[in-house]
Amino acid sequence: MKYVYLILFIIMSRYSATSIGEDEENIIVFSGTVFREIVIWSPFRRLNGLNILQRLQMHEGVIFSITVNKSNSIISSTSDDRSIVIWKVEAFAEHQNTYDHWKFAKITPAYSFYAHKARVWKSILMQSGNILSAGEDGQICLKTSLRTYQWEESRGSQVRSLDCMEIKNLAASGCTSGSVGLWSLDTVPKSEILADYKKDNRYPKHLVVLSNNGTYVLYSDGHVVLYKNNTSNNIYQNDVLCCTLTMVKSPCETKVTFTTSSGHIVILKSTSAQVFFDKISPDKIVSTIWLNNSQIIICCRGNKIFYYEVFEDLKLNHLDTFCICSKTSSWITAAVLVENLIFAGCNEGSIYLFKLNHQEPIQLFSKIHSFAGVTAMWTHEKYSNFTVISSVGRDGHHRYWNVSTQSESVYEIRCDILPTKWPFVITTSLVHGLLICGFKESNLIVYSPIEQRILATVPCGGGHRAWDLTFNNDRDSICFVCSSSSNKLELNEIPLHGHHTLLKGFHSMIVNCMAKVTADLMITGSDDTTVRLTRFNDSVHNLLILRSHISSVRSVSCLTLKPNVYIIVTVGGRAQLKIWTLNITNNDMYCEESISHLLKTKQEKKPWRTVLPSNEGETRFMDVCVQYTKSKSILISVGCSDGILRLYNYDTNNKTLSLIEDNLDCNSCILKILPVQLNSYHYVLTTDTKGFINFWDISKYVDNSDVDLSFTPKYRHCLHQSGINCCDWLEIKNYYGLITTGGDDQRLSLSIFHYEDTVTLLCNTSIYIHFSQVTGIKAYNQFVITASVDQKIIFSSWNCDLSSKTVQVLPFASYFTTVADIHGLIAHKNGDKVKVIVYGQGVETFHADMSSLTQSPPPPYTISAIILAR
Amino acid sequence: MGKSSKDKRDIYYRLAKEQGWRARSAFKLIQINSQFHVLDGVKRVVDLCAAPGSWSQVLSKALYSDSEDKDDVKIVAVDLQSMAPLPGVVQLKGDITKESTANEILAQFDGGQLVDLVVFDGAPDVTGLHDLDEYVQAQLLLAALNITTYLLKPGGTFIGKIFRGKDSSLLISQLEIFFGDVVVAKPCSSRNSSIESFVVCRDFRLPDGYKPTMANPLMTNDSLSWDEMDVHRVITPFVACGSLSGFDADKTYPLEIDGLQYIQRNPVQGPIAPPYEKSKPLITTKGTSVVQTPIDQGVASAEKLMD
Repeated sequence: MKYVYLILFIIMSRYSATSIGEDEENIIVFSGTVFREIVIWSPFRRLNGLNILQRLQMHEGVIFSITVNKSNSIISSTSDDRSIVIWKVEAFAEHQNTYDHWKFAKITPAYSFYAHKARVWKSILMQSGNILSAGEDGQICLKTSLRTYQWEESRGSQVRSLDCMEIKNLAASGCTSGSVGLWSLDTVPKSEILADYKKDNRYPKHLVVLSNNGTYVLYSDGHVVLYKNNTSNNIYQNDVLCCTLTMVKSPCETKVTFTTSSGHIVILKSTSAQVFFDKISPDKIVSTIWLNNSQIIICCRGNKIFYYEVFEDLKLNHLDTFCICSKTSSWITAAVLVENLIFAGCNEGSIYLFKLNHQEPIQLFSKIHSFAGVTAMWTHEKYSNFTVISSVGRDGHHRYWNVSTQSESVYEIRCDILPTKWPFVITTSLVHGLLICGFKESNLIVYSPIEQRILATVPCGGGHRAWDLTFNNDRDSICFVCSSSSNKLELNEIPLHGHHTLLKGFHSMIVNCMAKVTADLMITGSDDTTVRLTRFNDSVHNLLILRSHISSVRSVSCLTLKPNVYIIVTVGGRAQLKIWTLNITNNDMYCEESISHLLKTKQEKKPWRTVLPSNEGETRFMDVCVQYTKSKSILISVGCSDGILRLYNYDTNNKTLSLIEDNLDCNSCILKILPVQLNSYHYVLTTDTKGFINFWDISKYVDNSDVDLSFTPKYRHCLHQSGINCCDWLEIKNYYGLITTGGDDQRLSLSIFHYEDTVTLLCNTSIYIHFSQVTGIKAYNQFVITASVDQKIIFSSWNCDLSSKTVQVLPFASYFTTVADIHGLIAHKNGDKVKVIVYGQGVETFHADMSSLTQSPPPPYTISAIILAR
Repeated sequence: MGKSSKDKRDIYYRLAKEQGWRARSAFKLIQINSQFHVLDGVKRVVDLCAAPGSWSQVLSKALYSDSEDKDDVKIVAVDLQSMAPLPGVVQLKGDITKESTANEILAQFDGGQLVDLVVFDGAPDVTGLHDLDEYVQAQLLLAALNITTYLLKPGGTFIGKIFRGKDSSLLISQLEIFFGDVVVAKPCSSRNSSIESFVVCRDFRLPDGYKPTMANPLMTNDSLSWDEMDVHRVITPFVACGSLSGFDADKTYPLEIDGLQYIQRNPVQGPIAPPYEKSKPLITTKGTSVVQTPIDQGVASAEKLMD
C-alpha cells in the first residue's frame, strides 16, 4: 500500500520527486511541481489533517529535479528557468528524527547559478560540496568551489540522465543519441601560474609551448624567457624583437622562428640555445609557416612568398619565390607540402596550389573559407596518386581536399561543419584519431570529429591573446599556455581521457530516412543534420558521419555506379541537395561530396541591404529517388514542399548537376515519391498531404526520347483523407500492379491499377489497423508490412481476384517496437525470413519467420528481435 | 534569415497574424467547426488551458456573432499561465486537476448551469522524447476530461488535443465510456509531420453510478503489457477537416499570394513572463559560462506550514 501511495505522489507531482527516510513514520517526499514550487511531504504522518511540511518557492518554471544531500543540510533543485538553486537547511535542533528535522528546519535559498543554456534536467549534490548537473544543452557541468568544468557527451544531443559514484569519483550519463558514457571526475584540467608579468611592466607578445612543456615567451620589451619546471631563464634579448609579428615553432619543436615588421628573422634552437639573426627582407614579414622540420615559407608585404631551407646550423638557403595575385594585402596562414606542390591557405580564406619553380599559383579557390582566413592544414592518407589534405578556417568549416600529384590539381572532397568558428589546429592521436582545437566564445575546445564530441572545454578568455599548445603522452593530454585576463601567464594541463563510452550512440534526433547500400550497410539521414553510414549486423558499427547539411536531412537514395562505388543522394530542409560518391575498398572507405546544391533562383549578394524580402518561400526537399537514364547519366527526382516535382540530371563523368524540370505541380506538399516502370513507360509516383497519388510520365528523360512531357499527371486519384506518408509498388501480372499506401488517416490502403497505355484504378480497399498515422510500408506477394507511430509493425495478408475486381487484406500478426515516432521501415526478404529495420526516434531490427503464413488459420506467430540502437 | 523567414515557412503562422489571431491554432478550431458544427447553438463554453487565447478568440467571435441574445453567451477560459485579456471572455487562473477550479468555473454560469461545450488545446512543455510527451499529453487530456465531467451538460461536446501514439487506443476507449460518439479529427492546418490530432467527443453521458471525483484526476492506470498487445479490431473513425482547396500547412508558399503585397507583421500577442526570461541575459553573457546570482529574498519564499 505504501508504495502505491508513493507512486501516486510521484505521478501527481508530474515533474520530479525524490524521497528519503528509513521507516514509514519518517518517509519524506520532496516533489517539484508544475506550479514552480517544491513541496515537502510526510506521506504517512499527518498533523491537523495536513501532511505538507514545507513549501519552497524561488524557481520561475516547472521543477525538473530535486536532490537532498546525505546529511539533510542542502537541497538542490533544477528548473525550466535554466537555474540551479541551492537551498540551505538549518536544523532546529540536533539529533532529531527525519520527520522532525524536516518539519522544524529553516530552509532558505543560499544561491542560484546558471551553468546551462537550456533546461536543466538534473543536479547532484556531492558530499565534497561539488555540484554535478546535466541539461538539455548536452553539457555535463561540475561546479567546485573554485572552478566549473564542462563536458559534452555527444554533439547536438541532450543529456537525459546522470548519476555519480562519489567513492570512485565516477559519473555516468545517458543522452538522447542513445549513448551511455562513464566519466572520471578526477581527470579535470589543472592549471598553474607560470609568471605574473604585470610587475615587470611588460606583456607577452607571443609564446610557444614545446613538447617537454618548456614555454618560450617573447615579452613586449624584446626579452625571450624560457619557463620550465618552475624556473625561468632569460634566453635572448634583442630590441628588434619588439616589433615581432610571428613566433612559430617547427613541427619537431626544436626550432623557434621570430620574424619582425622590420624584415628581420631570428631562429632559436631549443636544444642548444643557438641563435641565428639576419635581415632577410626590406619589407615587413607578416607570416611564417613551417612545412616540415627543415623548410619554411615566409610571406612579406606585397604578397610575396619566399621558400627557404633551414639547415641544422640555422642558416637559411633560399629555394623559391611565389606570389599571390590579389589587390589587397594577402599572406599565407597555413600550408602543407605534397611532393613538389605547396597547398596553402591565406588570410582572406582563399586556397592556392603552388608548384615549385612556378611563381604563380596553378590553382585557386577564392575565399572558400570565408573572408576571415584559413587557420590550419593537415595531411591525411596518402594514396598512390593522390593525397588527402584537410583545412580549417574561421568560417567554422573543415574541408577535405584531394591533391593529385600526378595531374597536379586539387578538388574538394567534402566539408564538415565544426562546433567552433575559430579552429586553429588539426592533428591526429593514437587514442582519439583526428583532433581539432579551437576557440569557442571564451573557451578553448578540443573536438573529436570521429566521436563527434568536444573532448575538453577550458575557459581561457578566447583567442585574442598570446597562447600556444602542445600535445603530450601520445596526444592524450594537452599543455596549453596563455596570458590570462589578470595579467598572469597560466599553464593548463588538459587531459583528454576522462570519458569512456559504455554504449555507442546513433543519431541524436529523429532518423528521417534510411537506404540500403549493401546487404548490411545502411545510410541514414536525420533531423540532427547528419548523414551516417552504418553497418548493421549483430551490433551497430558507425563508419562515417557526414555533417554538412545546413538543415535536417529528410531523404536519402542510393545507386550502384560500378562495383564498390555508390552514388548517394541526400536532400533536406532549406531545399538542399547533396550528391556523394562512396568508394568501398576492403576496409577502407572513401567518401566524396560531389555536388552540393541549394535551390534558389537568384542569389542576392547582400540580402540584408534589400528592404523587401524576396518573394520565394522556404522550400524543403521532402523526398528523393534516383535512376539511370538510357544515356548513363543519373535522373534525380525530388519531391518538394512547394508541391513541385523537380527533376535533375547528374552527369557522373563531369560531376555536373542540372535542373531539367520544375514545372510539374502537384498542388499540395509532396510527401513521398516512388519510381516505377509500367509497361514501357517510366513513371514517378508522388503522394501529397491531401491524400492524392499522382502518376507522372517521365519517359522523356529516362529514355532520352523526343516525346513531349506533359505538365499534368497522367493519372491522379485520391486514396486517403489526408497525407500519404508511405507507399510501395508491386507488380502482379498482365499489366496489373498493386500500390500499397499508408496514410495520416491511420489507414492501410491497397489499390490495384491496370496499365497498358493508360493507367486506371481497378479496385481498392482500405482498413484501419493502426491507431496512429501509418508511416512505413513494404508489400510482398501475399503479405504487406506496415509500421505506424503507434509503435506497432503489423503483418497483413492480402489477395485479389482480378476478374471480380476485388482485393482483400487482413492483419494476422503484430510486433511492438520501442522505437517511438517511426518514420519508415526497410524490409529484406530471403526465403521465408524477413529482416525488418524500423527507424524513427531510434532504430530497431528484427527478423520474422513467414513459414507459418501459408497455413490456415494462422498459428501463433514467431518473431525474434534484437534491439540495435535506440 | 530575415524577419519574414517564419512567414515563409508556415502559411498559417502568417495568416494568424494577418487575421489577428494570437496563435495559428485558431484555424484548427475553425476547421474542426466547419466539419462538425460543434459551435452551432452553443451558448456556454469552457476553454481549458486557454493561453495564449486563440481558441477563446474563435469562440468569442463565433458565439457573439451567431447569437441573437448576446447576454446568454458566456465563455470561461482557464489556464495556469497568465493570459492577456480578451473582450467577452471571463478568465480564471487555476489548476484543472482541482475541484475548486471546477466549482469556480460553474459559479461563473448563472445558477450553476452546466455548459454546452468544453474545449481543450493544452500541451505540456514538450521534452523531445516523443513517447514521454505522448504519455504526458494523454494524462493532461484525462485531467481535462475529468474536470469536464463536472461541467458538461448531458449531450454536450468535448474537443481535446491528443498526440497519436502507442497508447491512443486506450485513451480513446476511456473517452468512449463518457461519450456516445468519439471521432479523431485532423484539421489541415495541423501539419502532417506533427503527431497532434483532436478528439471530437459528442453526446456526453455520465456512466450509471459514476460520480465526478478529483481523487484520481489523471485516471491513472497501466497501459497494456507487451504480450497483450494484439491487432486491434476496434474501429475509431478518423476525419480530416478543412476544405481540399484550403491552405496546406506543410506546403511552402511564396510571400505574395494571389498578387497581394506581402507585409511583415509582428505576432498578435507575445509570451507573458516565460520561465526563461530571467536567464536570457545571464546565459548569453560573453566570457562567462557559469553565472552565480545572489538570492533576492523578496522573491524567494519558504513557507512553513506547521508550528
